Amino acid sequence: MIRGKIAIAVFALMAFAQWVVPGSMILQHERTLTQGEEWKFRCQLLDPYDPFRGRYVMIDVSAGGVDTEGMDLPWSEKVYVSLERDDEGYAKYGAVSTEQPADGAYLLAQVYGSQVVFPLNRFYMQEDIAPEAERVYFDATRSEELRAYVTVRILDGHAVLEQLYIDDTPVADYVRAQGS
Amino acid sequence: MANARHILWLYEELPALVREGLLSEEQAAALRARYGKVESVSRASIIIVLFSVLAAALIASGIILLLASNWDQLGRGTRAALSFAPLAIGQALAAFTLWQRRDSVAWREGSGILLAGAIGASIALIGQTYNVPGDPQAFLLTWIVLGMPLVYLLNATTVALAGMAATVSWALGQRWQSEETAYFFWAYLLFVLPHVYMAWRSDRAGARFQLLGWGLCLMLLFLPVALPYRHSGLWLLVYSALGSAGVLLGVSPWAGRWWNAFLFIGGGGTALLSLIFSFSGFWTSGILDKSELISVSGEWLMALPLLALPGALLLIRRAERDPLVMLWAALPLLTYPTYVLAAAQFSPGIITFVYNLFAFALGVATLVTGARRGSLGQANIGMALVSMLAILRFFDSDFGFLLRGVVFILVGAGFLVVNLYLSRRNKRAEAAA
Repeated sequence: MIRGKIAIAVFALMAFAQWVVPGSMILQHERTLTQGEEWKFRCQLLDPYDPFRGRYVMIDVSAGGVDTEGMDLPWSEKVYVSLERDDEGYAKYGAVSTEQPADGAYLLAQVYGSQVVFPLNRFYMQEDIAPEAERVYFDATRSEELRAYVTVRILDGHAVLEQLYIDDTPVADYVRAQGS
Repeated sequence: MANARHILWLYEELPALVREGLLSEEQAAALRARYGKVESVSRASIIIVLFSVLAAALIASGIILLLASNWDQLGRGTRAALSFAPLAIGQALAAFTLWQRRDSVAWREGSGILLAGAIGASIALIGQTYNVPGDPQAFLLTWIVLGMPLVYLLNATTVALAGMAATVSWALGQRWQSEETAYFFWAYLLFVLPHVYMAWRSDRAGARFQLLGWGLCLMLLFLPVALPYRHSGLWLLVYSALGSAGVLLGVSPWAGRWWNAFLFIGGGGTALLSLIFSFSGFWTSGILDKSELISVSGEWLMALPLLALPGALLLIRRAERDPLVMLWAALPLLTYPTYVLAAAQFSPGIITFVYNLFAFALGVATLVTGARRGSLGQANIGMALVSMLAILRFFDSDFGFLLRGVVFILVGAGFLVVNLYLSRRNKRAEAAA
């Protein structure tokens, strides 16, 4: 067991690191949310569960497709996907490259075979609302064309998912309105 | 360094020795000074430690669950501030323990595991607030690293054990997800060894070292996960070396108790491996990619110290002369050359014959020695090994039903006869005593 002055030093260092790591995570995300450019991604919803972080709605923003054909990338390779806006103002995927684009907005993604996985796959929700959200979305998509999209802030390739909208309403409000 | 139990025994004997005039008061005092104070661990205090660890673990999990419920009424700023709350409480308790309750095992283990849990809760809440994508690998690794100093700061064995479990699950994920070599597995192993050594030095028969022994052995079972993927055959060498080292360590007085993790997992592993290697299918199937068997590279350096471990143990403990122990520890003597032979496309028939012979010899030697020493348990272990070998061979090959039936009956009858003989003999020995 470490004792005396060394113990004080080690404890102080450890306590400091334990604050700095979450603190810097908060700062980085806050910076992107306040300074980042806003993008809208069309998405699909699924509802899983994380034992540590709670309920979230699993989101798939890869619809519309990213073209990696003929690139023959190694498993779990990191790629830069540049972003464009379509006629309705939603994000659309452009060129895929293993090198950082010189200009324009881009997302960092990982390639697993023919699948491209974006770091925008979770939207955390209050535990009673998440399964409801998926049900409401599922019911609605069967009867009519219902738009779900997420707003994402992107700053220098760092993307933070801001809000999930169903029919232009934040998802929690939408579910509550449906329930009442 | 003598163990605490022995010192306690000595202290209990001292007054009688002084009374009988064998030692003077001065000599008894000198002996007490020589061996120092012993932290006596009573049954009641162990229960208190267990309860404090359990309580801390439950509270930490409760905080994690509470935060996971996700209150979207709270703004982002509030939630960010809130994510530091469990951390602050855990650190305050750890600091209090460090300066006020340093000698209490219950406080050290309890506050250690609480703070370790709080770190996870804090990172998890931030992940939830900012919809950080699910990357369990990065999450786990950050959590482990931030909690590691607690092992030495508070001498907290439960934190060390939790770290082992988390490291194994991280390494499995690493192999599963990205096929990258899990170097951190080795780093954690090296990090935790001094803690194990300190526990061993203070009381090798005590709960702390014995628990760490189980943790260490179970962690080592996953070691091939942390070996480079390319060497698909390296695991067979590493496992056989670890099994052999486990047996040698487990039978030595270093292990603290005669029934310990090293002997159990080392011996069990050796038996299992020799049975697996006795299949001809093992040496011809794709499990061993022969083209990859011999490709010397830097990664071998990682495995080499482990491969040399049984030899090193034998060198240090030259007193080990029990032929049965030597036989149980001899598996690497077969696997090292057969690894090379298999790579050179040597006939698998001869290789499997050798392993069949080895497993049979191991079983019979254990059975005979057990019978001679009057140990029912040991005899049955030998018997079980021989029968497992018989059963495997008879499912393996094309023998007729008649022959298989007869052999099974013989093996079963053998079990009965040996047990009957041994229990009779033991009864007779008791009656004579």
